[in-house]
Amino acid sequence: MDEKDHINLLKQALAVSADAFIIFDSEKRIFFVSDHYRRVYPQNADFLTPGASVYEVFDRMAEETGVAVEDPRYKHAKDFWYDLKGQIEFPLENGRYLRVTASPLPDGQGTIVSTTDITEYKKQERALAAKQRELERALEKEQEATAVQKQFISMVSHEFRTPLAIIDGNAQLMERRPDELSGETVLKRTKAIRGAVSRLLQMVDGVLSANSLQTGMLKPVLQQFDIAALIGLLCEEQRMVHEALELALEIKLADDEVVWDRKLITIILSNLLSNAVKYAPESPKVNVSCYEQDGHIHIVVADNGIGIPEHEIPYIFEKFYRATSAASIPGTGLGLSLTQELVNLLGGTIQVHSKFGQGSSFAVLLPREVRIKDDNNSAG
Amino acid sequence: MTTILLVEDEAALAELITDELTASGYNIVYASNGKEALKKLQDTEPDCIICDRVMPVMTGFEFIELLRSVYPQYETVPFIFLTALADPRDEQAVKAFKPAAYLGKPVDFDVLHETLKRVLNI
Repeated sequence: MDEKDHINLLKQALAVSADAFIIFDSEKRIFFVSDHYRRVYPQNADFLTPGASVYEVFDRMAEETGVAVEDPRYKHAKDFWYDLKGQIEFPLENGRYLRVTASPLPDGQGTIVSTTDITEYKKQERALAAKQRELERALEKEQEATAVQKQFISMVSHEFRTPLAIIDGNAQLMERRPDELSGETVLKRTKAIRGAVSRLLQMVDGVLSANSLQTGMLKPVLQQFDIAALIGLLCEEQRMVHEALELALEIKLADDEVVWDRKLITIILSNLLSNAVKYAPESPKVNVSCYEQDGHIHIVVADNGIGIPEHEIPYIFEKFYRATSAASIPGTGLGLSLTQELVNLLGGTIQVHSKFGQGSSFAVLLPREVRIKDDNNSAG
Repeated sequence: MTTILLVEDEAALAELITDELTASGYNIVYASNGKEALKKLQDTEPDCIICDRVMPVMTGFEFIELLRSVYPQYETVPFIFLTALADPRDEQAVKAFKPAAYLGKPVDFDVLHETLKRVLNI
């Protein structure tokens, strides 16, 4: 094989390479162009000939690819071609992506510029990045769930231990001095135990309801019933439990019949009523009103309790959040978050107005007839 | 008579401890929070302080810090922390305050008695 054969062989090798090559001499003029390059820029095929300067080559290529001078890609590419150093990645108008690399030849003889089509690589890179973002989001969600769980565990261990300590303490006292137990003492101890048990039960109920809501197990069952009668009943219950309670009830409805989930609205209103009493001073005064306005039935529970500091109001419906003003009153921080979720489940809204030290008022707004949208995601 | 200052926001629990310790011959001075306790200390010189860890107004930590800065004479009064926090890291955090003892709730009265005897050298 002579030298000419060698060169032809090399040319053929370059022609079948996935990359396209241009070799520039030390004057930055074309010395050699692989056939492949002519296929990438067919319109300039006749121009890509030995002797053409890199500046002319760049101008023609810019023209052919249709990249305007104002386009940031233009400057980026121009810097590369004029310099013939380094590497650029270049998106074309037709959606393809090129990577162009300049490699200097030894002893300053010139430069080899190789161009690779990296469209597929870029596609995979984008897909990978999207996948990674997806994973990051999933991880974030997971971390949030773990944080909530941690909060829950610390709440449970603290809030549940206190009533347990009361139960255990009373039992210990009865066990230690059984001979000294008068009927009065026994009553006092058992009353304290039962009080602590009902506090525990309330917390367990709250946790269970919150859990069944979270797992989507709570589905509203709509039925027609007399809301005025239900509110009256719930208020009466509160009056029976709290002797010092002053409760005023005002219902102004043209029609007392509503189509709601009776059980859910009972949980909602019981929560609001027991909160009103719980966060009130020695003599709680609670005003309950029910009226219709702008197509919605409003049920408002207002108290003269400790109130919520203004800057904390936006957080009170958050799970486990407890206002600083409530710190001395036992609670799980689940009640209002559960209440809001239940109201939302019925397609309603809950509003709060509060003045620190003066009292709070919670309003539940529901359409007279609740319609539950079919939830396609509910299956499974 | 040995006087114990009890600082506990849970009235029902405080009453139980008071009942038990009074029956055993201790004199109990009760405060429902740290602020009240600091006030009580103006005319009470306790031999020991039993204090809840999580309380409104100020935490048990804040109370002990304030106590030691306001009443340096009580520096040596043994301090027993009561807590419903089940986190072992909390016990580590408490150690910085060098309490005489750290008791978890529910409180076992036998343990409480033994602890008191130990810290009071009875």
